[in-house]
Amino acid sequence: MIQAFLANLKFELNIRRKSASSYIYFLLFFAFAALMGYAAGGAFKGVTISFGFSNKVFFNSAVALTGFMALLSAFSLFILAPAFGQAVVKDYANQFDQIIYSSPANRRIFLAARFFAALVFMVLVLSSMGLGLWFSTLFGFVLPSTVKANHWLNYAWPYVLILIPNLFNFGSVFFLIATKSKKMAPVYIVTILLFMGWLMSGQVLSEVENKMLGSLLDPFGINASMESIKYWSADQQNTLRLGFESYLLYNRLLWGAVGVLCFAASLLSFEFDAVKFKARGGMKAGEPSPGAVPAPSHAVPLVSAPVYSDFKMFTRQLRFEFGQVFKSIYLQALVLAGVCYMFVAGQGVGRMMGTNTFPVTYTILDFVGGSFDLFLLIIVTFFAGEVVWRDRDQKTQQIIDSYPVPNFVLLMAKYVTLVAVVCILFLTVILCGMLIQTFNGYTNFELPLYFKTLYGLRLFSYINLISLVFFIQVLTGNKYVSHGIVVVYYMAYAWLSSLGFEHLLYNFNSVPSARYSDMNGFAQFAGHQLTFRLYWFTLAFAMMTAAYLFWQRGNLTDFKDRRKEFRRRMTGVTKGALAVSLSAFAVMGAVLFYNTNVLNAYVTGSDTEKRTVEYEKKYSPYKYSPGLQITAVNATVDIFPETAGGNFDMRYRLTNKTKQPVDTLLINVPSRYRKGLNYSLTLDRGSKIETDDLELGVRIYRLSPAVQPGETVNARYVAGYHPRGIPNSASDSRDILHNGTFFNQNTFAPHLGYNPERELSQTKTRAKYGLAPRPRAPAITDEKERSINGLSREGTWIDFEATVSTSGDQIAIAPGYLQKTWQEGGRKYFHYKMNRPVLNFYSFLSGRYKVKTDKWKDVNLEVYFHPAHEYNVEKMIQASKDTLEYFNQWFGPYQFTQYRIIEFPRYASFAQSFPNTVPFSEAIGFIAHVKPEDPKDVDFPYFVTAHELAHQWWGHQVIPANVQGAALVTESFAEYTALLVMEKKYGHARMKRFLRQELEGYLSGRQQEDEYESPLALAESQNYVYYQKGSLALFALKEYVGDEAVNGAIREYLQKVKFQEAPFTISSEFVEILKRKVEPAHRPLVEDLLEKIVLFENRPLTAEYKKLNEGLYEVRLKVAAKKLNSDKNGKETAVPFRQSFDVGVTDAKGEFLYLKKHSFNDGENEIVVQVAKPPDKAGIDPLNYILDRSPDDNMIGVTLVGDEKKIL
Amino acid sequence: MALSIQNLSKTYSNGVHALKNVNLKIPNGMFGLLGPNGAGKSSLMRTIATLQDADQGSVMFDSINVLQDKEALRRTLGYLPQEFGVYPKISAEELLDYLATLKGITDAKERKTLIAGLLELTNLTSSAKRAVATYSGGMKQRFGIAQALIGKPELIIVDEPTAGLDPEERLRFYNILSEIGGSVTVILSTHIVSDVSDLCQNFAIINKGEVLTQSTPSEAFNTIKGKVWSTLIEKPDLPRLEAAHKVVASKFTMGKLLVKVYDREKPGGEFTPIEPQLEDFYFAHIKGFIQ
Repeated sequence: MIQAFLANLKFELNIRRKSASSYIYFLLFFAFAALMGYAAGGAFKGVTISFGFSNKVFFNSAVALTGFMALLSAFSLFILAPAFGQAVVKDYANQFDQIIYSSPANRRIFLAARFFAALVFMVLVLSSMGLGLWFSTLFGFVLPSTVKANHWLNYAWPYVLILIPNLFNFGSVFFLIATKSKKMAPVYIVTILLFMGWLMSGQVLSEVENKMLGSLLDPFGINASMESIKYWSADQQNTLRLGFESYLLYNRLLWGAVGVLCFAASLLSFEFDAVKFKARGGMKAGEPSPGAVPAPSHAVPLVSAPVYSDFKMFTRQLRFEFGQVFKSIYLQALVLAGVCYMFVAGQGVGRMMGTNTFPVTYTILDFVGGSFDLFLLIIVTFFAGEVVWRDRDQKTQQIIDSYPVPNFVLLMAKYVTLVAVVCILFLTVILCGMLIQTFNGYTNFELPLYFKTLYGLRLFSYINLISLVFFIQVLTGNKYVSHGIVVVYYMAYAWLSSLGFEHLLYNFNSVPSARYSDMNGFAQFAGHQLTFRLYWFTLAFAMMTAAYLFWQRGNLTDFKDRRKEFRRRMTGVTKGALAVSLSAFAVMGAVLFYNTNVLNAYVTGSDTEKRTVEYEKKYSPYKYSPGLQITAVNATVDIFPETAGGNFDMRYRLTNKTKQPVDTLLINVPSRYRKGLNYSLTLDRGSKIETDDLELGVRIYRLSPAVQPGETVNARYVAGYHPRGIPNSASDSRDILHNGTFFNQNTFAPHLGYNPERELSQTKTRAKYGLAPRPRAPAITDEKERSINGLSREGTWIDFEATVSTSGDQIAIAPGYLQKTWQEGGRKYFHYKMNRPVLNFYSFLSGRYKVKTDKWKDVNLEVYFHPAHEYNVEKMIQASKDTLEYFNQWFGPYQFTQYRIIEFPRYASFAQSFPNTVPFSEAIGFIAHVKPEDPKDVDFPYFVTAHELAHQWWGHQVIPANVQGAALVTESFAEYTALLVMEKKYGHARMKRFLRQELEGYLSGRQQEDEYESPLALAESQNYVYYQKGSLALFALKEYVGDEAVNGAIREYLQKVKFQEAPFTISSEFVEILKRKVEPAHRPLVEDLLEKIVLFENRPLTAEYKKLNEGLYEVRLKVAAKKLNSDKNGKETAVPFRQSFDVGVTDAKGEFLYLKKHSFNDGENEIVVQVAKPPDKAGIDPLNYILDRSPDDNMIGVTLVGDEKKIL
Repeated sequence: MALSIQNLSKTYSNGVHALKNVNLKIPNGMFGLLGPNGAGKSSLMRTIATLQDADQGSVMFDSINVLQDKEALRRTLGYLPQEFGVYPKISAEELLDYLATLKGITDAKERKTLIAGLLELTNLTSSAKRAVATYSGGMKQRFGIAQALIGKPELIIVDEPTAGLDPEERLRFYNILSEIGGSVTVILSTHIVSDVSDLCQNFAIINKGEVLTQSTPSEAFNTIKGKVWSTLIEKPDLPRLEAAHKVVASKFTMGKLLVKVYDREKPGGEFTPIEPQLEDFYFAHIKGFIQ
């Protein structure tokens, strides 16, 4: 038996060995893996691709290799499916089945041999991935900082954990399906379903509650692996190997079981239905016999002379092709899969912090553009091959091609069929989109937007794409080779720009983005995009003409014959078509080049990088040279929404705040790459322009006489901005908009003094240019930076005044109180003035807003919003009132008598706090759909409003120095105090959802850390530290020491430092006050939370209860507790400790029956508590504010003592 | 209407010399193209059917230059390839309707009449609604001739139409062919000699890309009359006989071998004259006994 098995195995493997494709696959995956290695290892100039891993993780660590290989192996499914499917189907397809299965060989052995031959073959092919990655680490092409010493086990491990199990599991599934159906089509359909599983699992995982379900759904184990290491620090990722952690373990078990079952089923059920007899020929019951041998004597029926109408042939051919495509099970399966995916994933469209937004049409369309597009691309690529080669594949070519139907009729009918398929699928998309909207209770469908986006813009892209695919199919004459080329094109399309080839003009079918905004519509961007599409269409047209010229008719496969036929088809018409389309392509290309490179500046990422380096090398000596500070600004800004232009007249008062004379003035002015902006700069003091660097945009004045300490100089900057033509990147022309303009002080105006923010930050990139690493923030001990505020180097407190004008139907806004408004020449003017010095941090806005006003005491509250976005305006007003109330009570008064929120288009998604003015993106909050009664919803419009208003204290009153820890007293404070306002409104127990989200952000943020983790009090530009850890740490502290102590410390700190001049405050001043405020016993806790990196690993082991009497239950809880001190690289050491944590018991509805602190030691602890109702769950830290490395297992089910069933 | 082929040559890029200076004059009526497998029949048929180009030479159908004006020929051509497939899940009626439109029968009513007639002619009326893909070999071949007849073609090419058909189906197929063979040119390629003797007014023999002869069945019969002899031998004697004589055919009868020999004179030995068949003419050409 074994001999028979081995003989069969050898035979099968021999076939693979002789097949060229085996080697091609091997080389392909080798090359891909090596490329991946080079990309991850920074071997390509200007490109580093991390594939989701932090820069600190070596790409040849076991964890990263597992991630890379798992991901790459997903693409092997397209070889895997045929390898296993064909192992069974080939006999049927080649009609060899009757011979094979009539042989005396044991069929099971025979089949098993085929299976294992395919398995061995696939393992051999995929072994190339490990080899490729290993190869990339050799010869020193990758940066030494990205790799560690190679260890063979790190390369072998992914095969054991992921790859070989996947090959077996998928292989078994395909094998079973192939033995049952004896066809390849169902195998391919299942391939698609497996991919869907992966995609969906990714969607499901975006919610923190669904980690287990999401991990199980993923047939590949890719997401399950990533989920398992989500909380690993860089050090752990570099040193540990991914074992069978819970998510991965269950994932492997589930899919392993599927694999084993399918394998067994295919062997067991095989014998009985092996040979396939096609019901072919013969007569069906009830059909009369064909009649006696002499046929009836009919002449050929007469018809009138044929009429050769190209149009009628075309419509008939179109109808035919269309029918064939729509009858195809592949199309049905793909569309079904796409629709299912849309519905599953569509439920989460636009979710933020686990909370729904209203499914406005643009969010639906964005989502569709991202995911359904993938299905459309597959459909277009695959079916182009099908329709082009239909007659050849079905062997009807000789008949059809002998018919008097012209080539262009056939070609056009096939082409139009695909375009029509896309059109119809767009209808499906619209239908599904509307259904998703309806299910979410949203009925403002905006059909015109659907049609404009899909049929107005997107369809054009497919028209061009289909031309390209047809061209490739016809030219190569081979369906599968073409598929390969098309996939390479897709990858090039996606990757070219990140490889530094950013120009739209040479990346086929690439166009500037036309992102839709409810506020600004498509604006001019739709036109820009369509112009570029037309440019590509001219090439697409030439390609279709070429496709016609090379169209394979009959048996003209010989190169010789094709050339002859090509010459025959090169008639006046085709020559004309080629000449016209190619010259149109050239002319449009030239015109667009003039637009992008002459009227606008085309600047690549690496150009910018080089100029940045030069800037630093040339001008960093001026960093600390004595300079002037802005102390007053009077701005006159005219915004022209119609032409997207503006005029600026900025008057600055510059003061020498140093103790020595200043004779040098460095000003960053618009460089020559800032097209459309003309400016003049004048000073009211004798000066000489010493340097006028147009390339880098730097002007240095020599002042005479020098400015004495305390003396002032007036500067005036006058500029006109008149953009022309189409820039290569749409984001270059988003400063002044038709509706919803928002730009800040330095967008059009100069920046005073050397600007270190222009410096390159990444150590890797800096090293490339011979620059020393640059700390993310100056050290807390840096005395020079102590005198520079963290928000603006140009100045601190300024007198501010602005006159802003805009078109007659818009409102223009700048910080300050409105003094006067008037109309002149059809334009509106607004004069704003501040009555007290404000931070040198301001912006200008203009739009057609609806305004909602309210009052809290003497503070005017105003929300300026897009009229259709009224959903959460009331909530924002309420949040403002609650915040003002809370802050007045706990911290101190608001410094302004007005607070304004202004909506701006979703080209960016943030809110930003300027003095009494908060621009707030339409993408966050304005369309949120918060259900206040749902405990899972986070009221984020409320929260964001509170957070931004809090910044009027933390950032506009407390101004930290530009050193480490600055963000503690701005961002962490804002996050924490906004949380307090939320807690007051929603109650303590509702904080869990938010805190859990913050904990997720912190834990995954530290996994992604590229350099090192800082303690909170020394936070650098690490938002997972200052936002997420900040709010958690301060909240936890409040829970331990009480809000009076924490808020009291904040209040005292505020009183001490507010409206400070240089030197500015640093975080240690706050920590000092805090330590003084809390009881001595809690000081170590303050140190743990703010000055160290401390994590816990707490989990309940068992929870039991017994009923003492009616209304009294005793819950006995065993908890394992562990405290870990982490160094900055995430290296952890367990330390003994004693600390109290919340112990919680909830009932079946999730309401707390018990929530109190208990003291814990490291190791096992037992807690006994009594509750009044039957308990359902019990555990430790139910609200998730402890920095717990395993936050999902804090609560477990409580079992009745002696109740065996429940334990199982 | 007549087809004239002059100096037609074709070499494939793999070096196969498929057609060597072929010259043929094919008049109205049924014309048989006889040759063994691989003789170049299909290459010739495909070239006439505009599916393939020749390296040199010309093909004229009346005034139509077939190699240059392909579309003009296609308008008057009915072609049944040697092997063809059909689209899955499409009934005969539907498929014929589609094909008829491509052949210029654009009037729906007319198309309906035509298809009904064709189905009747080919005896497929009762299976008209069935998917062609489920047809038996004979039915499929009849469907094939039905599609070839759409649009009153004046040149009909059928390439090995009866290969693999049982005798009854073959007869049925011939019946259909004989219905149409009157006023148009029908070229029938085959390797079965009886197909030609049963059906064709004219025929040519082609081997290794060359036309060996063009003739009529009766002319051929006359050529070979009195020149075929037979004898009964034991099987081991065959090589000896083959060395000495021009053996055109041999077959077993009652355990012995009946051998036919071509010779102008009665050969020495135990030979008896027999009534020759067209088959003997064919093999005598293929084997090069007649130049």
